[in-house]
Amino acid sequence: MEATTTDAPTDDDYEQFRSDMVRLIPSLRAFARGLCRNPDLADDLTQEAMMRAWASRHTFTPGTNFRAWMFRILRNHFYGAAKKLRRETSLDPEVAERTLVQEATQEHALHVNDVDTAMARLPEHQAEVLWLIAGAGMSYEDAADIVGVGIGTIKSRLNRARAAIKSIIEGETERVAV
Amino acid sequence: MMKKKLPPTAARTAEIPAFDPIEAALREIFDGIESEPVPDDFADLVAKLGKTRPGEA
Repeated sequence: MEATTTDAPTDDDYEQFRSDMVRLIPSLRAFARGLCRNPDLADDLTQEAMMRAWASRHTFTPGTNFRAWMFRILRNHFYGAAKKLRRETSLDPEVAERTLVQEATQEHALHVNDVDTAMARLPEHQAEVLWLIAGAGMSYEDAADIVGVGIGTIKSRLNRARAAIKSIIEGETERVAV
Repeated sequence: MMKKKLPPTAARTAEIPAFDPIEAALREIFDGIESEPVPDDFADLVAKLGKTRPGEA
């Protein structure tokens, strides 16, 4: 969203806000899916976050990171009223299968399903940081802003998440090999 | 030695220092969800939002 020089937002500003929010819908759905791990609940979460963001649009500061602002609203809703949605143990099987088929010729194809399964076993606060940084491509700074902790905490959670997910996958691989 | 140009998805995750198959898999999953068609009820919601004032849901 472009910075404006006027104090009061104009209709054009709000139209820009709405356009920016519409462009973000795919990313918001993906982030929500990683949080609650259920496609239908993720879409409900995304729509609720959009309604909250729209109602609070006058509080957004033009020129700041709109994507991080929207992700924070969605995350706060998930950990607040929407926490009853809880995480499910795996993503939509059809999506996982489609992803595997699409990536079957790539070097990391064998890891997609394993990684998805392992993500469901990580503590929530580690999984969300890994999802934000590795999945959504957020910077440490933006992830810290979204989660509401310091950058040091983000880095330590990320390191623990990386170690834990590798351990889970390697453990599963060894178990299959035995 | 020429530098290989990074694809967009790798370029946007500059925080990650080296190729990691687990993080690449997470990017694939995220990008796969992003590329799904957006359900029609989102369009209905966006149309509804355009009729509300700040502070209204």
